Amino acid sequence: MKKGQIEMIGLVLVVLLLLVGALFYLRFSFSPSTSVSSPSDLDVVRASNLLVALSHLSLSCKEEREEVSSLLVRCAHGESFCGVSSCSYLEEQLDPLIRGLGFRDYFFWVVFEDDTFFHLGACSLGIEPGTYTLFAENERYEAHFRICEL
Amino acid sequence: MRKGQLQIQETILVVFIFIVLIALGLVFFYRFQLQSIQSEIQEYEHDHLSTLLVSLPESPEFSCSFRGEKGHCLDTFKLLAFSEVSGKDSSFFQRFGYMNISVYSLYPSSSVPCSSSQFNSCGVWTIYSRLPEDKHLILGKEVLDSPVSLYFPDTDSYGVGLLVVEVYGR
Repeated sequence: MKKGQIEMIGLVLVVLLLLVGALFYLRFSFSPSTSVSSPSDLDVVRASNLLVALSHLSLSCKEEREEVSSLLVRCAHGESFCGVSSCSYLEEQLDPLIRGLGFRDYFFWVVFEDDTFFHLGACSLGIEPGTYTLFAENERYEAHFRICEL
Repeated sequence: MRKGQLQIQETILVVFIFIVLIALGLVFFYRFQLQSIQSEIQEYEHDHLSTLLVSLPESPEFSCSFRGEKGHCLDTFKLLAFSEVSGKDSSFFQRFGYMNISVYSLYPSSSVPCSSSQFNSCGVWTIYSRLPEDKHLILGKEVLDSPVSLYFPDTDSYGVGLLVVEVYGR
């Protein structure tokens, strides 16, 4: 190989290196900054806090006032509150509240003796922060919450 | 032009291209490092904020208690008392820094700000608020919220609120 040819190859190599460098520079300088942390851990905390807040919540109707946990017991026994069925009243009050807190697609259900007697929303795949157990009149109720989309 | 001069020019060109390559590499490395540090800062601030969101409702300054036993709710009277004190005591700045901590009552719903003269039928408690004096220095803001149980001692009832924490990046 002649000396001129070797120099030409060297020049091509230098130009290629420059091009690769420039491409890398452009790739990283225009890439959007992304958040590294996943929000799922916080969602679990939020959903868990929501379960606690909902179970304590006092709902008022005219002169009557009951906590959600007591209304769930009433609902399980088919009793009424505020002139309507306790289950319907709970549904009417809780659904807008949960959606107002930013949980658009969720599933809230309460189980008593392996029977889901009350539920709100419907979604199958999502995060479940655990259960909240209620004890009322020697009966054990389990409230579950699942977030599918925020 | 003589052959020697040509070779010198060629060497100068090669050295120049080599320096340009090194400079590009340095710039690229600097930018990459900066991006990585910034994302680490963001991650740290997000974690700090998440921790605060979990620990705040559990702290004795805000949590409700019944006969000495701590409950899982925020005492609205304590929120009011704390908001009166937090603006005056500088020690809270060391604890919270530049941030805004507020609680909004969603059930019962009310948008009236709470104060010592208006503590009934109100629904917004600004527990702590401190912004940098020069607003041009604020580089970003991160906001996190979580539902909380609110306890109203005057009516012995519970509501649902939203705890909102806003942190200002400088």
